[in-house]
Amino acid sequence: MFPIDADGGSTLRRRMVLPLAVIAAMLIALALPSHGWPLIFRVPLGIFAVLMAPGWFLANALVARVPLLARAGAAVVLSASYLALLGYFSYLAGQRMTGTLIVCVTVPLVIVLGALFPIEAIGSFRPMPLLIALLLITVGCGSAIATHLLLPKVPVESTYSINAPSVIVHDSKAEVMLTVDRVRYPQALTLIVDVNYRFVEEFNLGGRSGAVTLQFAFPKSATCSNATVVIKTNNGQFLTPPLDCIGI
Amino acid sequence: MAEPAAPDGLYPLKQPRTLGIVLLALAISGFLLALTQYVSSSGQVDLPYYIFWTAYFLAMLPLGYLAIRKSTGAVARTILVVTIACWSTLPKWLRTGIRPLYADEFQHYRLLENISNLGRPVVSHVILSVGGAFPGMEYFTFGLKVVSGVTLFGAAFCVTVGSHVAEMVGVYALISTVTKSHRAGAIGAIIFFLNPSYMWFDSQYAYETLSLAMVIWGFLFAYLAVNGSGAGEGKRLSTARRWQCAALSMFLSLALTLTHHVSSGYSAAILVLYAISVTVMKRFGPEGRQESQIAAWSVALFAIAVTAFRYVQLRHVLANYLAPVLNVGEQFSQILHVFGIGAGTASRTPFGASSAPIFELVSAYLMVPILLFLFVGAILVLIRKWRDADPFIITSTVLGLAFFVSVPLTTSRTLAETAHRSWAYSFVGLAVLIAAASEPFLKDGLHLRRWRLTFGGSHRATITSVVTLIVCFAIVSFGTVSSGTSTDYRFATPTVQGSDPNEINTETSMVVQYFLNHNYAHQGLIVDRMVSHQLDVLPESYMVLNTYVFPMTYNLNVSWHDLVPIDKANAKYIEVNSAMSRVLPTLGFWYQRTERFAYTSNFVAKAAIFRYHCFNWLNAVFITKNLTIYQINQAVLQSDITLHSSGLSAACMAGAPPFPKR
Repeated sequence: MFPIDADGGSTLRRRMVLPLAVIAAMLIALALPSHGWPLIFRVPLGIFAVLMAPGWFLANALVARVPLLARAGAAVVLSASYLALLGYFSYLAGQRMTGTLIVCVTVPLVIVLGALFPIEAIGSFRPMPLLIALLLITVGCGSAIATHLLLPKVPVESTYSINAPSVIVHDSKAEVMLTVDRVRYPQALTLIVDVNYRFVEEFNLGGRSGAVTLQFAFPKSATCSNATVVIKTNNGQFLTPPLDCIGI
Repeated sequence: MAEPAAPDGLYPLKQPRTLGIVLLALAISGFLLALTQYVSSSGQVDLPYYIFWTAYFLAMLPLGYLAIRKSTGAVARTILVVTIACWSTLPKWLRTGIRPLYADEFQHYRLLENISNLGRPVVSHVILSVGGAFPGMEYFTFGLKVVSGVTLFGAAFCVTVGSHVAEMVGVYALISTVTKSHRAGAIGAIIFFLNPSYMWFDSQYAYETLSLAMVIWGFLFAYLAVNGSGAGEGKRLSTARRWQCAALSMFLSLALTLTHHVSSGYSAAILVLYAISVTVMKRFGPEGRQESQIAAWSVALFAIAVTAFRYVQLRHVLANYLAPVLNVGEQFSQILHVFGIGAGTASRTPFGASSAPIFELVSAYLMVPILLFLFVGAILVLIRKWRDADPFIITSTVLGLAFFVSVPLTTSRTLAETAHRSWAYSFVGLAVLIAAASEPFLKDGLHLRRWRLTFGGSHRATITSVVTLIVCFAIVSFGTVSSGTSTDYRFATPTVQGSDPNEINTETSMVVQYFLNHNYAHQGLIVDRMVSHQLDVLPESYMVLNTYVFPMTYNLNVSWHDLVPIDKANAKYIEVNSAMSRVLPTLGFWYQRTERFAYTSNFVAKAAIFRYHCFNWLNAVFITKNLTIYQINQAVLQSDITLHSSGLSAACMAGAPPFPKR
């Protein structure tokens, strides 16, 4: 059994403080909804729990002479390996890796590891190194991110898109419904319609965007079933939508 | 005179003046890093390089100096190493935002999406054909997402940053433990930081992201198991603790076999080499050498066993995937070719299409002799104490040598990527060796007098040595960055056709959005490489091998045989980039490396691009400035195949311009 301290307190109780805290963090994180304001609490709690369990308990015991922040690196790698193995072996066993599965395997593991590899110096934890590290990282990264957000957005390249799902041909008329979208493309668009490679009509869309309907006369010499309609843009792109022959 | 280290190990970071200077330097550096991307996005060509390097030295010189300074406390050194590691994630994140952009990332995100949506690690893609067999990093990411509720991209961001920091901290801990000096640990960490694959790499969320950290920490646990001593103290680990360390090293070896095939094999090979070193040097080894040898061989044999099991299990997949890389004969002949013996493989000119400034290019050539000088110097220093040498340092020497052996391979088109990717690993060896050798010199300060490194010296000699160190640091920094990553990956620019990160733009996003709105799961999309990247992260799309359209794009004649694979693939759309007839791809190819005209200065014929309009089974239904989406009419396609016809219209068959000018 676990020995009793000179002051009468059980070492077991001391040993279990951190494991229970990690388990509590994991359970609270999983209980919180995954949207809205609770995410403010869930995200840091969940990340803390995943990175701590079980990596920290092993790293802290086995590379104890390395400074705390370096041990945190070991904890991340060990926890990552643990989840990689858990995920893959659960897949081999035909199971999905879910929150429940993670809790069911991790909680007993953390309790065992907490008892086997006690965090002896939990009472002497000094936050100053962490605070200094946090300050340096926050200033370094914060200034970069703040500048990135504050600088005016660089213009994205100008372009347009035209969607022409089909040409509807009925009697001697044809109609095509286009969807024109522009991104910083103010130039006028001119569309030339050819039927069987012969010019039929030109449409000047100007700077319009959104739904546009083109109507043109379908040449009597062309047969709808095997005709080719080409809509050519003024920058050399072509649309050849399929023909929908109605009543022909 | 150096100040005494404070008992809490935080000196000099607890001094307000020092802390203030470092904070100011970091703040200005961060500002300049963000400015770099803004300026380059605006179309400036040269200015971004100068702003970036100003930001780099503004952060790295004070942080690096404090990290290797004699009087710096152990805790402060760790903080500085962690800060450098975190700072070095910034250039890439500012380049990409929290989203995939680099080459392999899209496929890894796709695997992650599949684990999230389907619950199993499957990925069907020509580029990452082995992805489903090595889903370790994706499972870790998914676990983080499940518990914390963060988005998949957010979880991947946490994994990338966490692993990146864990790598450098791991090197610091490893070298601190091997040399029993935190100062040497910091020197080694900075050498590792300089490796061409650390600050910049052509992927962020990829195999090496997590596997390299696993490898490094696996080495540390193996070292503790074998050696039993830790950093800074003479106290040895108990036998039970040593076996626990051995178990952790084995645990990491096992996890590696599910995370990255190459890292797994590499780690196993190095562990075997380490075990051999421990055995060979038994006469000079530490006390309890039998126990050390048993521990070393246990760890090594376990790593070999699990890796071999996975390799045998996945032999067919791995053979196809690694065939171009594992061509040992080609690698050997390429090395001989550099020395003027025999013929080399398809050659590549390093920096052939680079727009990097001249000082970066020159530094890339200068860094090799500088690193070789340090490498040889370190061996000469340590050889005097050969009998007492740590077997891990011997192993690291072999590992470091791999860097110099791989340099000639960068002139081969097929092997250059392999060489680049190996540097992350070989720099671990270089870092251990050089740090271990430099530590005695730095004990009382480094001084250069009469071309000899001696302890103590004049003020002038000290300044000379410091300037020499800074110049060498700058050259290696310029050289490793420019040789490790192409400029497209470093700086955002206006759209560049045929460039992995710089062609992912509004046009490709429009095409992807069209597919998202119109395509159904398991229907094929035949697209070029750039669009395929973005499609990979869409859970509902199903990729078709883009090789299917090679004949359609490149051959002068198209027969009905070329239509058969398109029909069999159940493809619904083909996307074509009309820029193929006007510009050469920066990457060297449009679809795959094996395509006709890859890496040549031949343009795709304009008629071949127009020809897509002539097929009776294709209808262009969506266009952007350069891209066109053709809808495949399956019934007409099958009819053409039955009739042994390619479906070309009569006008095109006659060779007439299909769309005459008005």
